[in-house]
Amino acid sequence: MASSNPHNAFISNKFPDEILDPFGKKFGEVQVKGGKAFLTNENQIPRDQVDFVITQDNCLVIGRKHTTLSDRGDVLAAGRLTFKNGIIRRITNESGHFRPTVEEGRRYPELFQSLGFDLTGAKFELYEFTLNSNGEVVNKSLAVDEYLL
Amino acid sequence: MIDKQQDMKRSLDYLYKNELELVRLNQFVHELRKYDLAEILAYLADFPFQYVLNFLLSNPLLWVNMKPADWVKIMSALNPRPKPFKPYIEDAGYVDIHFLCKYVRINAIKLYLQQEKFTNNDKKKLLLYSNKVVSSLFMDELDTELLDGKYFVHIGKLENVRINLTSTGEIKELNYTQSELTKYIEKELKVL
Repeated sequence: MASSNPHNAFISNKFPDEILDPFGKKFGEVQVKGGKAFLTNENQIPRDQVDFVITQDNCLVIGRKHTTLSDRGDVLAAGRLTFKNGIIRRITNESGHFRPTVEEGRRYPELFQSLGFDLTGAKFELYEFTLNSNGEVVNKSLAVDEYLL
Repeated sequence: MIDKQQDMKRSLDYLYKNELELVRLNQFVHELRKYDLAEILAYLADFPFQYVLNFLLSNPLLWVNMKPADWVKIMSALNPRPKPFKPYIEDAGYVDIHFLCKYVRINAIKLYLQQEKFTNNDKKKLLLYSNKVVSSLFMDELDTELLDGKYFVHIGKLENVRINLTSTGEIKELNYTQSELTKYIEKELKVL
C-alpha cells in the first residue's frame, strides 16, 4: 500500500546486489533558481534526456544509470527527464532497476513541485512494465500521457 | 590498424567522460569522421543507451550521406545482439533500430530480417527487443521540437536522409502505427 505522503514512500531498487555499471555517472544535483534548473556543481544542464532519481533526502540527482545515481539505495522517484533551456519538458518513470509503478509515478509532480520546479506544460509519461520470471522488463506500455497544468 | 582502433576508443572514452563539458559534440566531428561509424557504434554498444542515441542525433555528419549498405554494415557490426531482456530497458546494442525507426522513419526491422547472413537467433532477439520497446520507436511533438538543428540534427535533414535511403526501394518507410508495428513484429516472430 503506497503512502499518501510522497516524501515517505520509497521505491525500492529491484537489483540491490548488482554491481554498479562502470558507465554510470552522476552529473550532479539539480536545484532551481529564477525558475530555471541548474546543477549545483556549476556544470551545464544537458539538453537531452537523462536519468534521474529523487533520493530519500529529497535531492534531485541526474546522470546516467539509476543505481549509480541512488548509490544502489531506494529512492522517492526514478525515471528520465528531458530539459530544454533549463526547463523540465518531460518526466517519465522509465527505470528498469526501480520499475516505478504508475501509482508510484503519479506522485512525481508533487515531489518536483516541492523542490521548486514549475512543471507547467511539461509532458508527463508513465509506463506500465511487464516482467519475466527474472524480474526483467519484457514490455512497456504507455499508461499516462499528458501535459501538466 | 590496431593503433587507429585504440585512438578511436580513447576519443570515444574521452567524449563520454567529458559529456557535460562538451555539450556540443559537433566540435569533435572531424576527429570522429576518421573512423568507421560501424566500429564506433560497436564500441559504444555497452555505453548507456540514451548517450549513444544522443551521440548519433548530435553528429549528423557521421551518417547523413550513408547508403543502405552502410546501415546493413552497422547492423552487422552490432551482431551478435545482446539479450533482449535485461534489468535496464533500452540497450545501445540496438541503437540502430531506435535511430532508424524513430528518427529516420524507415523500417529497419524489415531491413534486418532481410539479411540472409544474419542468424535466426539474432533476428529473434531483435524482434523480441523491438516488441519490448515498440512504444519508444515513435516520435511525439516534443521529440520533433528538439530536432531543431541546434543541439540535435534538424528534422528536415532526417527527412532528406529518409528520402535518399528509400529512393532505391531497397528500404521501406515505416508507415505503421504503433499497434500495426506490434502486429508486424508478432507476425514475424511466428515465422521465425
